[in-house]
Formats: sequence, structure tokens, C-alpha cells
Amino acid sequence: MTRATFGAQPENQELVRWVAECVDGTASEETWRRLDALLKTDAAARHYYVAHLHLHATLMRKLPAPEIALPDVDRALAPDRDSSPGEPAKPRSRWVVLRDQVHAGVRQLARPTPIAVFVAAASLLLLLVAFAAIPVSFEAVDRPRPTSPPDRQTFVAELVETSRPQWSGKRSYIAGDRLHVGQILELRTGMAAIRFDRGAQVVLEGPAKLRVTSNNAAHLAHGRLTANVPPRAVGYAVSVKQMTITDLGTQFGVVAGQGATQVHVFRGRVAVGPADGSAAEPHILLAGAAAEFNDRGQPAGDYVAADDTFRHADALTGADEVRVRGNLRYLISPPQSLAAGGPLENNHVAHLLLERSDVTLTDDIPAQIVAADSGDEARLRPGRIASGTRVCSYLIHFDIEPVEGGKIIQRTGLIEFSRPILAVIFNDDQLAATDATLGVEGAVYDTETESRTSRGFEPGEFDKLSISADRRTLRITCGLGSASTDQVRVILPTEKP
Amino acid sequence: MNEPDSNNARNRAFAEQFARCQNRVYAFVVALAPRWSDADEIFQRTTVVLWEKWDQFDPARSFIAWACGIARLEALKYFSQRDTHCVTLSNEVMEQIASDYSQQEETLDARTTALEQCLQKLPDGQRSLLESCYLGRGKIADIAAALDTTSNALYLKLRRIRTALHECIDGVLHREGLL
Repeated sequence: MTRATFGAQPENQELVRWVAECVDGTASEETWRRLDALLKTDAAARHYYVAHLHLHATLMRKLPAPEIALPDVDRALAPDRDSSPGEPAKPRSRWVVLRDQVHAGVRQLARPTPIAVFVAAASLLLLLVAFAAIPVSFEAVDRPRPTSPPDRQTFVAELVETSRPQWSGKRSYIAGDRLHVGQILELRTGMAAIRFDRGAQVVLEGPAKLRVTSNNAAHLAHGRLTANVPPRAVGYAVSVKQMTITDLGTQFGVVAGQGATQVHVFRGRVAVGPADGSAAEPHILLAGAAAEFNDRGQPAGDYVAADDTFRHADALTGADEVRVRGNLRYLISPPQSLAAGGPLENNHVAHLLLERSDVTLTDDIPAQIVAADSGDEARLRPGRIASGTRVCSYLIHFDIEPVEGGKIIQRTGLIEFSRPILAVIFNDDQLAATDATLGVEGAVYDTETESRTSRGFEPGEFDKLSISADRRTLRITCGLGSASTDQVRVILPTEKP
Repeated sequence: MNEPDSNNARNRAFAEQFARCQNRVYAFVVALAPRWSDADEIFQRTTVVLWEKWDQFDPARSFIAWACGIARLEALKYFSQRDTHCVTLSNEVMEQIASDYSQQEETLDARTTALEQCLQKLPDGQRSLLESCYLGRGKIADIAAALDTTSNALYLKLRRIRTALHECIDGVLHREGLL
């Protein structure tokens, strides 16, 4: 029996080991069963478990404590002092003025007129066409990596993708660069996607200047950004002048310039207030709303419905549901050619890109169906995805340059999806058969070139693919020994009902 | 109060409570589902349900207890919906942990506060290692490779650091008469 002190180190070293394995994610089924049996009957063991997991969770949310520049949400959201305990806090007059406009914005979004729908759809189509025409810059892959900053700097974010960037300021950046606290990115033209280590993803659109201030915050000196914030990064903050825009679980956009600052909310809600937290309450913006604010975070203009000012919000949709690790990069915008020797050719990283976000299949398609299994990994079995199924498709693409001496280049990466994988397609014929349905619209694949090369993925000694038992995590190793490509199409059910 | 007033008060009240308690709710979810991908999913679902059921919340109750109750149900639902048999804690133990969380709220808050002190006392190398593994949530194998060590060795180092932090927190709470 362990000591009955809350959280204290137990004498039962098996318990210590089991808990450590749970935290590490290495606990076996047997360990879980034995731990569960112990926790059921031993309160002290359970208290130790709770305290240790609490430590683990706090570290996940807290580090690095000194640099987290979370806005003073508690203070900003504090109830009015003149409210009685137990009563709802009284909204201030400014809040009252704003509220109807917020709801008007929501209502407008909820009931778009046919003309608005047409205009929005047409705009989106034009923007997608324009965006697809922008070749993604990968010249940086071949450049020598910049010298690492001094060791004492704390790296808190990563530049994950760029599109035709022209940098101004002291230096330029390439995809994969780690960014430290205080680092300034000054983009003259083009786009850059930054992933903060707490999970927030930001797309910066030039001309813009952004300073990284923590693993969950940034300062936008000027320009336009779109932020996509997953639950674990709730509280992500963008400061502009003397105001702070605080995420409350959302996707939002900011336009900062010489005049008023615009805040647009696409999903969820944000709080806007002075950076010093001096406001008794923030201004809450709900999905579909937009507003202008002065330098101190006070409203400076009428609300307008959020529009397509932030055309790149859609580009973040894919990043919202996938996370890549290792030698993989997520591409915001697919290039026009996904054939061998295309713009993605390099010997360093493979790429993941969203091909189609929502397709209703009109015919059965052949695929390797991902089936749950009682082991650690899901099973793949040949089958068909039925006609009428709504799916989205991603492509893993690895395309190497010619290598001398028959050297094999292998790259390994991990992809975590927010939903279970339905199927994968990796043999030549099945890829070719599904390019038209599931491939990037307008893009060239090797099936359409005369010098068709093998593009499929052949699981074996050099190519490896495994999918976790919960079907959400895909681990892939691509091995290539000549100028060729490996491609795997990953099919997920469409998220929308 | 008219409808927009009511809605705004509702929004603001929820935002207040959620901003204050989200870390505690997240910690509870991690106790039920230590894998961060599971924890994130359950926490996200919990957040949505909390918002949807906010009208049913009794202000006389503890928000954290209410939120943990919903998180427990969401965790059970999440694990039951998974296609494979996923071994984790039983419903009974989850209930016991929820009860512990509710009863030990102040102690756990004190442990969070003490952690700040203990992190400051960590040698630079250990703190840096924690940041590498927790902040970026990179794969242990990748981080181990970057540090020219093995995954097992890195897991052991992390366990030692967490044990040191745990003991340091115990010490702080003991000195303050909370343990």
C-alpha cells in the first residue's frame, strides 16, 4: 500500500514505472490493466497518478513559462466590479452598442442572399485560380542553411511554408527555419506560413512585418495575417500597436496598417482589448463578425460581415486537420505539376498536400482500405470505396533529383489526421485511375506525360507505410534510388455531415 | 433582458469561466487520456459540449466539477467510438479521478504554482530538454537523434526530470503546510 499523501512519491516503484510509461505513450495493454486495477483500490496510488499527470499536462500547456506572453485574459474578462455576486456581470455601454452589430453580422452570415452567395462563390473561384497559378518557391531547399542563432535564444515557432516570398529586412527565411522569440519576419511580397509551437498556424501575406513574441503570441507591426488556432493553443494572441487580439478557440484574420486595425472572425470567437489589460472587459467578436479598432483596442468603426478579404483562410483548412512531423512539409498551395521533375523535386523532404477537400464519388474506386485491427497497427486490405461516398484526398509526394552511384535516399515522416483514414492508394494503376477524381484540379500528374515513370509506392525494403490502430496517424518512409517519385494518396471521409 | 443582451451575457459569462478553468479541464482530460492527440480531441469535443450546454449550467455549482463531468463523458464516448479496442482507464477509475479532481482542486492549483518555482530551479540543460520535448511536441525519436542519443535514454532523462519536479513540488507544498 502506498502512502496516503496526495501527490507524494510512492514507495511502489512499479506504479512509478507504469505512470511514466503512460506519460511517455509506451504503456502496454497489460500495464494499463494492472494500473487500472491498482488505481481502483488504492487512493494514494490514484492521487500520485493524478498529481503526475497534472504535472505532465501543465508542462504541455505551460512551457516555456517566462516567454509565454499570454494576454491578461482573466483580468480582461473579469466581471464588472459593481456587479453583485451571483448575478451576471453588467455589460458596459460599449458592449451594449456593439452587441447588436455582432449579432447582425452573425445573422447576415447565417442567411446569405443568393446574390451574396454567387458573388462569394465567383470570388472564391477567381482567387483559387489565381492562387493555383502562383508557383511555390522551393529554391530555398538547395540553399545552405543559415547559421543557427546563439544557443540562448528560445525557439518557439517554425516557418513551415512559403509562396513566392520576397523578404525585406535583415535576412530571408526558408521553409523549415526555426524562429526564436524576438525574431522579425518582414515580407515584402508573397506568403509565409508559420506554425507556433503551441499549435497556432498563421499565414502572413506580404507586405507585412511580424515579430514572434512567444510560442503562442506574435506582434503584427503591419500587414495581413490569418490565424488558425487549435484547442490546445486557445489564448493565442496577436498584438497590434497597443491592442491585443486574443483567441478563444477560432480562426481569425487581422489587417494592420496606419489606420484602424481590422479583425475578422471566421470561426469561434476572439476577444479584443488594450494590450495592458486595462479594460474591464474585452470586446468579444463572434464567427462571421468583423470590426475596426483603434490603437488601444477600442472600436473605431461599424461591424461588417466577414468577407473574403482573407482569401488564404481556406488554404489553412488543410493545415487544420493534419500535422506533419519529420521529413515532411505541408504545402499550402499545390503546384501545377505533380509529375516527376516538377517544382517539388528535392532530396531533402517529402510533401503533403490537400488535393480535394470534398468529392462525392460517382463510381466505386479501387483502394487499399484501412481496417481496424486489434494490434498496434491498422490493416490494409484491397477493396473499393463505394460510389456516393464523400471524401477528401491528400497526396504524399516525394520526388528526388538524380543521384550518383545508385545511392538510396530515404525520408521518413509522420502525419496525424484529426479523423480516421478511410483508405490509401499507392500503386501506379490505382493512382492513375483516381487522378481525375481525386487529384488537384488542373494539375499535371505522371499519367498525363509521355515519359511516364513509376510513381507508385512499393512497400518493402525501402518504402514503408504503417497506420496506427486508431487510423489517424500515418508513418511513411519513402526510399528512392533514381530520379523518380513516390506518391501515396490518402483518403479521408469528408468532415461535413 | 432582451435576447441580444441575454446572448451577450451568456457569451461573456462562458468566456470568463472557460478562460479561467481551461487549463484545469485540459489537465483532467490528460489524466484520462495521456496521449496528447487523444487529449486534444477530447478537450475539443468537451469545449463544444460545454458551450452547447452552458444554459444548463447551475451557477451554484463548481464550473470545474461540471466541466470535468462532461469531459469524462466525452472521453468515454471518444474511446468507445474508436474502431479498435483501446485500453485505457475503466469508467470506474475515471469517475474516481473526476472525484479526486473536484476534491483536490486547490491542491492541484497549488502544485501548478509550485511548478513555476521548481522550473526556475532546474539546471539549464534539463529545462532546455523539457522545452524541446514538451514545447515542440516533436517526436521523441527525432529529438533523440538531434541530441545524439537514443529514445530510451531520452525517456529516462525526462522521467528523472519529472520525478525531480514532482519531488520539488512536494517539498514546496510541504513547507507551505499543504502536504
